[in-house]
Amino acid sequence: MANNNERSSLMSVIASSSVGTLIEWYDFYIFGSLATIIAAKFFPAGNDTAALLSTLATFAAGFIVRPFGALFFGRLGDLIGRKYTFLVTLVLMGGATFLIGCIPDYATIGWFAPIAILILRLLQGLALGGEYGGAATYVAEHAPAGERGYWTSWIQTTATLGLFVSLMVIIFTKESLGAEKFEDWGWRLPFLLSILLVVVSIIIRMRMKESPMFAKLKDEGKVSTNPLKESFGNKANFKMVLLVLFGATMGQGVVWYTGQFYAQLFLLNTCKVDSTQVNTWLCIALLLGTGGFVLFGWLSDKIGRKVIMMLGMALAVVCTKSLFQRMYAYASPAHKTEITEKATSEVKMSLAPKSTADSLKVTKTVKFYTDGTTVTDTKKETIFADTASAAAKAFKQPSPAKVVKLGESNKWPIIWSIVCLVVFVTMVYGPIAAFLVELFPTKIRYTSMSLPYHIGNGVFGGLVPLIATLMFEATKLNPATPSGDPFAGLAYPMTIAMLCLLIGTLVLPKNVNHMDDNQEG
Amino acid sequence: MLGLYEGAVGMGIAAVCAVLNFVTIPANISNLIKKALGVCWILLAPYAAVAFVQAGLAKMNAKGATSAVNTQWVILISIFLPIMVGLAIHGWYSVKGEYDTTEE
Repeated sequence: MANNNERSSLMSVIASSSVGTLIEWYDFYIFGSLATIIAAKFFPAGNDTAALLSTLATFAAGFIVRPFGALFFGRLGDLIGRKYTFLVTLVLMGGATFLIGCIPDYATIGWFAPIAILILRLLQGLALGGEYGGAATYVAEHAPAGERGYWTSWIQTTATLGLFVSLMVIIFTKESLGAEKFEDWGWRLPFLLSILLVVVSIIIRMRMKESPMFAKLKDEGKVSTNPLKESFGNKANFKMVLLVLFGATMGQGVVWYTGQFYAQLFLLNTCKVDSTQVNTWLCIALLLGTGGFVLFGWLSDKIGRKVIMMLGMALAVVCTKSLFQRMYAYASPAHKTEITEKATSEVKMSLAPKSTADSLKVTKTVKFYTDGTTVTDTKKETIFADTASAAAKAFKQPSPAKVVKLGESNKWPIIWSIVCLVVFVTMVYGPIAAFLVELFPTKIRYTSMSLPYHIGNGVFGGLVPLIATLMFEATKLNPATPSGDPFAGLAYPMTIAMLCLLIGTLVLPKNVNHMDDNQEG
Repeated sequence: MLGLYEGAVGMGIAAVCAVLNFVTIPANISNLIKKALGVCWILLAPYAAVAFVQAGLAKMNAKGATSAVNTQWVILISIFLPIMVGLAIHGWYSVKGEYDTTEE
């Protein structure tokens, strides 16, 4: 047990590491949460090159650059030390985020805008790839034996809190400025705010000392000369890297992305629930569930890390679909009673944009339900003055936009469903930092743990929204389900989680701990 | 393959795995299961790789596919294939007994 002085020093290590990591997650999520606005400002619709750059910004940052960042900064962290490496990742992330908020849009500076955004987003991915492994390693190398699960669990909270803070900042800015101003220039504020947070975090991190385990290794001249070769060229270590990927991080990644991000997308896109309502409820659920990281991290010190992670994965496989069905039951108007006499419909005619003769007909229909839910359908039709013109023939009328504003009685059942999903996330994610750092020796720890973590999360987890959406869309081709099977998308993450659970349960070692060995052979 | 998690099969596997975390399986049985699963991973890796590439090619060759869609799938395939090679190597290590339990 750590004494009072050690605990206070540890708390300062945790605080300084966690704040920086939280800011990095905040920076990364801000871009994702504001992707629609950024796309409109920087990647003009109907332009193939812009769409290509947009795709690169979305996919390359998560899938290629993040694992590459893990290798690049992991190597650096094992060569020159943890402290300086994750200081660099923080500066890189903060600088890139701030600059995204400064860049004039496509309408002002043309092609330079989307190219600059792409480069900055790639830098964000690179920095994120290096940050987590450094922070987890740094904290674990300070923590006393038998308490690493508890202390590193604070680092684990940062990803969820980063999402929470980013959503709160967006909601607050949007509500303060109003939707129009927010879409015009207000969206830049969350990016600009990052520089303040980063400066504070840099000052704190500058005061930190190097991790004691790495410092000892350096003093003894035992630092690895080629961490990449020792991590992936050494069979004994490489097989552990593969095992960690397929038996732990792959499943953890999909459980995490399903619980936090796909749940959000599901409510927004499949159930068409109002975005402010979804984000606010998600924030409440994250806040309620986040304590689980620390609880399960602490518990992993007592009963073992593997058992908690595997139980979390098993629960996710068994319960996720039921929880999504429950959310759908509360969110879908199909399960509600409409007050037909209250329904309203109004039609507005105006001049179509960029036209002097064509009209725009906007039909807004509002339906009311007994539980306080309202469903607003907005249909926009362009009525051409010359219906025989080529433009009229080629024009495709947009699909009606539907927004469901749920009644208060639906709030808590949906929030509790998300809380359950977040609890599964905390079970698989809470103990994993301590588990990973203990699996690898100090001299190649940063490199060895970062790559499987970022492949598991960035690739397997990051693919959840895309593959789940593709699977949902594919079910619409089935004549039996013309509007699609809303739960079809869950097959991908849950099958991956099940395979990972199988490998993890049967192959993952229960008690490998290189941190308490006589270091570094 | 996808959808396997649903119904009794998925629930059963998850429940058995959950229980197995609390019991100690004799080393010889555990090692046998690891080897059998190793064969599964060796077979699954090329199957999943081919299925993923086929899905990607179908999307890329679909009517109206843009350069953005093509780029997206090229990125996904290029990152997914090495991971499947890793799964096959993991399976091979399992079959060779690299993950065998030696204690007891």
